[in-house]
Amino acid sequence: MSKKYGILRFVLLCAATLGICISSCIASPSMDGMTSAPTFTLSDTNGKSVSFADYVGKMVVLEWTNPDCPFVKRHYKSGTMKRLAEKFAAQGVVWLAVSSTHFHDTDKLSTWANAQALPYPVLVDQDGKVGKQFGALTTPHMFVINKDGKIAYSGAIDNDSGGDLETPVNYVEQALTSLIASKPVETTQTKSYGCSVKYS
Amino acid sequence: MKQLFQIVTFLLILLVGEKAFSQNVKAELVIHDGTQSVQDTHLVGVRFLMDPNWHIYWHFPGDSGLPTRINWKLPPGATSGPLLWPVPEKFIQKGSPPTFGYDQEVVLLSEIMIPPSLREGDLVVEVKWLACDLKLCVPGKTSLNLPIEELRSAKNSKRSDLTFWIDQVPTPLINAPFTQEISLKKENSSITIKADLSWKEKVGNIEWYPVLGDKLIVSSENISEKEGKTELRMTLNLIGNLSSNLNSATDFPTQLNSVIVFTTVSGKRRGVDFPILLK
Repeated sequence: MSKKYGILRFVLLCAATLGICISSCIASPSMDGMTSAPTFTLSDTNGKSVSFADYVGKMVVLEWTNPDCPFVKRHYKSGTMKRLAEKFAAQGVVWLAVSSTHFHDTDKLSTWANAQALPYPVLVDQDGKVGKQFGALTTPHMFVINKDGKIAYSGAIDNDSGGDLETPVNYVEQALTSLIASKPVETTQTKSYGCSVKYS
Repeated sequence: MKQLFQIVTFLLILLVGEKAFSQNVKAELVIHDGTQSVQDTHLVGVRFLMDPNWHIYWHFPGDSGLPTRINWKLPPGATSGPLLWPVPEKFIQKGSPPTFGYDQEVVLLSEIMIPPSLREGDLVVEVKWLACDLKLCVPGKTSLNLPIEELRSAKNSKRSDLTFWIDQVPTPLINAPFTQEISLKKENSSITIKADLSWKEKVGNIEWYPVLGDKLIVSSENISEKEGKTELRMTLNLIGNLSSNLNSATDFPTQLNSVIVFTTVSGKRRGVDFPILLK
């Protein structure tokens, strides 16, 4: 009898150990509540193929843009995006601008990117496939992706849709600063503002 | 020559002060005829005229766009009431949620109260808008002014019958041509609202315009009509921390404001303020 109980206890112990191992070893995308960023490959305005998979292990900022949108124009006039891209490039943050405007081709975007002397590529998503995968609604619409490929922040660039505030809160800057310091991102989602993305 | 230049400049300033033109949108001041009162209250509006295919935005534009803004600067003693927004329309862009605003023409009204003792001074209104068509958006702004003596003048050319626009301002729920039954189902960061409207008169083209603000998005919406009843079904999601465990009792706003818009049998668009308590 004691031998049977001994075997039973051994089996139960193994089962419990296995269960603990399984629950802690298998990565669950929903455990931290963050969504994995969709993977994609797009060409930039120089015709170079840019694949999201190339940036595994890096923080990536995706900025949906439209050179004709007054909200984008305002931020580019004040240098918001360029300043952030240059500031965080030193910490290995990759900045990618994306255009999903169906009537903006590579030439149009290339002319704009060159005129702005952008330190980051502009990816051409004319059929809007990638924009729709991410759920990009406006220009600008920002996505900050952490080193694990999860969307750590999505939404507006800041809290100043009207361009009225002297010192707006920049959510992208906050998110990147937190990620670099290995701290939780305080604001992970806001409603983006801007012009609607001109999908086909 | 210098005098001629000064006269021309003066005349241009007078002209621009009353109207403003920018790409695709014209803005001008108008006064509702027939609002003379002992209390010296005037219904004054900013009339916007949009080029074909262009629109400006309601106070809640939707998930993109920018609200039209009107800011009165009045002489001491004069006051303005809240801005009155006629019922908006929906503008659909492929692949995007609808936006809310106005095309062709709209008059945004304000009640201006001038103390009888105030004989001089100008009413000034700062106006800002974003005009968009299917491809482009162009911001606009202007400053319009109206001397008080002109406001009071019965012969002012800016006077016209603005009843059409007054009638387009949503009425309070207490005056609604329907009764309503509302129920809510809350689940984590979403609320499903069921609103059944029983109409007291025959209407058509029922639309719902929610004022979502920065915290809410509509993830699903359905409006169906059956035997004089309208069933509104909508699910709202809270925008917030993606990884936080939201307590719906504390994170949702207390109330969702919205407007129910309908068309009468005579073809007139009308609206009713429709607040929904979320807690």
